[in-house]
Amino acid sequence: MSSFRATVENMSKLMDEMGITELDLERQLFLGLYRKHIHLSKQQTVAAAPVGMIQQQKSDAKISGHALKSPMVGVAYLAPEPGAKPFVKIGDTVKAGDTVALVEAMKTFNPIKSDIDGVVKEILVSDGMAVEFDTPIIVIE
Amino acid sequence: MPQIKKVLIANRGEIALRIIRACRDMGIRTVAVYSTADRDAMHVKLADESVCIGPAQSSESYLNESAILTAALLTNSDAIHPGYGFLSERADFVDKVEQHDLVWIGPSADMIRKMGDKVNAKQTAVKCGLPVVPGSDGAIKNIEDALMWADKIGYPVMIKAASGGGGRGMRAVNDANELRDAFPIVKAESKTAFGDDTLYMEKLLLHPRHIEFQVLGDKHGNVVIFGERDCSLQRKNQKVMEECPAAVLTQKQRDDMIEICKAAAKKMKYTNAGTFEFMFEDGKFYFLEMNTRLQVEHPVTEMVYGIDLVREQIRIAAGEKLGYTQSSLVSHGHAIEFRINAEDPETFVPNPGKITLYAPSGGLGVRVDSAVYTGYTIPPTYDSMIAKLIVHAQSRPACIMRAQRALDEFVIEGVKTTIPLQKKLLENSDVRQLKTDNHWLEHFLEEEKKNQESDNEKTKDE
Repeated sequence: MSSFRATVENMSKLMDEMGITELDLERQLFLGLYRKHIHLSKQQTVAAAPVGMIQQQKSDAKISGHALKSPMVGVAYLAPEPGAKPFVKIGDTVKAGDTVALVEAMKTFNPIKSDIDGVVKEILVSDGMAVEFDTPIIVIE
Repeated sequence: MPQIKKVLIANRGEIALRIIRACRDMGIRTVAVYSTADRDAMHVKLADESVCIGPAQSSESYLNESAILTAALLTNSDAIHPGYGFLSERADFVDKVEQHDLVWIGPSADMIRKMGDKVNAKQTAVKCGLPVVPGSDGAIKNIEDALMWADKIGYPVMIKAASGGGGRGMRAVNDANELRDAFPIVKAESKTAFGDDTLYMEKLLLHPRHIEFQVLGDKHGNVVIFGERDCSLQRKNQKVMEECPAAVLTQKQRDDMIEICKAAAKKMKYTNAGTFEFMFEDGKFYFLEMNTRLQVEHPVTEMVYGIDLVREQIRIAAGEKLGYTQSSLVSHGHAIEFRINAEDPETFVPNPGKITLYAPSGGLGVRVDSAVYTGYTIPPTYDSMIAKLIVHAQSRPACIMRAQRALDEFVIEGVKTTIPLQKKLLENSDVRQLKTDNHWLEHFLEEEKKNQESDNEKTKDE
């Protein structure tokens, strides 16, 4: 791991020197069984995930509280329509049955409802973000 | 012509890996989809991207058309490869894929629809010149009609209820007397069981072998047929061991069938990969069904012909021409595939669980298509096949020798597998001398069970 990190840092320095903006790095573990493409684009390092990429899920271990998860693959929306007031914001009190977000799949909007009473502690997705099945969307406490 | 730069694989297990590998060999990016039970699965690790599409239950994940389409669109995939099983032969899904401007890597929806219906498939086969099991043309009205047809077809025959299926509503008869007795009984039975007493008749094959021919057709009307696979060793209609070529055929029988299949596939305007399945008895072929997809046993054909069938599927889907003709297909040697299932080799009860050690065999002529690894836990939710061992050699006897070596080497610990059964089969003289048919394995297993029981009795007595 650490040697890979060092490689990335070295490559990054080299890229600066040489003015390279994009590089595909490949890491091989377990005799090539595991492969991951790490896409480094200096101009986009902080930019949003490129189109066509589904956001990595936050692992359950890092979540404290009750996570409301996406029931399907789709696009998550935090407001009923573009420009409208979001369903909830951090600190809001919600009741069981309240709609807190929408997930769109195949042009159908599916409401994500809280199944407990509580306070919104964390919103884990941004509006319009692609989510997988089981992706935590909102944490209630 | 569509360009395929990214493929979503709507499957799991070894076939998902098989497709990912073909894509990588072609510089195509891959998207794996997976259920929550498959978070640690190899296909998820090996693909460039992955999307969790649903819970463990297949109907909510790998059969969830909307989730798979959404995943394809969100990842900007160009095409979907269905593998085998799951959505591979769902014509309506193919329509949906194409409605979303995605390329379907497989035969057309129309072809899947046509061959998926048994009656329709047989009619199409007849129209295209494939030999079928002789039978009555439609319903048998009365006993006179039945006797007439039986004489024409030749005993033994099978009387079948038109609405029957799954082994119900059918009876075998060996002569006219048996037919006179059985006809009214089957008629009455099918009336009570299916609410329809329409009967028809088919020739009964007593000791058929299962022999099938691989088809590849492009979108420009070019078709090639690969030499055949013998898949006669079956248990409950599940193939256990498959070979290429079928050593029981003469070169003339093979060449004739290749010509017949080629003409049929051309007439159907068949595109992409498919398989004509036949029963073979006493030198004659009888059409069984057509599989409109890639098959589990495709690797034996690949080994003998040196062609990557998945690559060809992708090329064809992208609109490319085959680029070769029948005469450029040259077979080399013999290949056998062994399906290794996580099952008790005697009772066939599935045995999911953690694989504590996985060390597949290797060496010249040995290929293992699998998606498991040491430490992997086989979920109880899906198929029990965990690996396919494919062995290739210059001749059938050499292939059997090499296969014995490869099966001996193969180590899977933590779960029971069917490897001991495969070893036993390879030692059997009937298997070695090709004295088998589609029913052979079932009989063999019954005998084994009896022997086991009598052995147990003996030990008790002592």
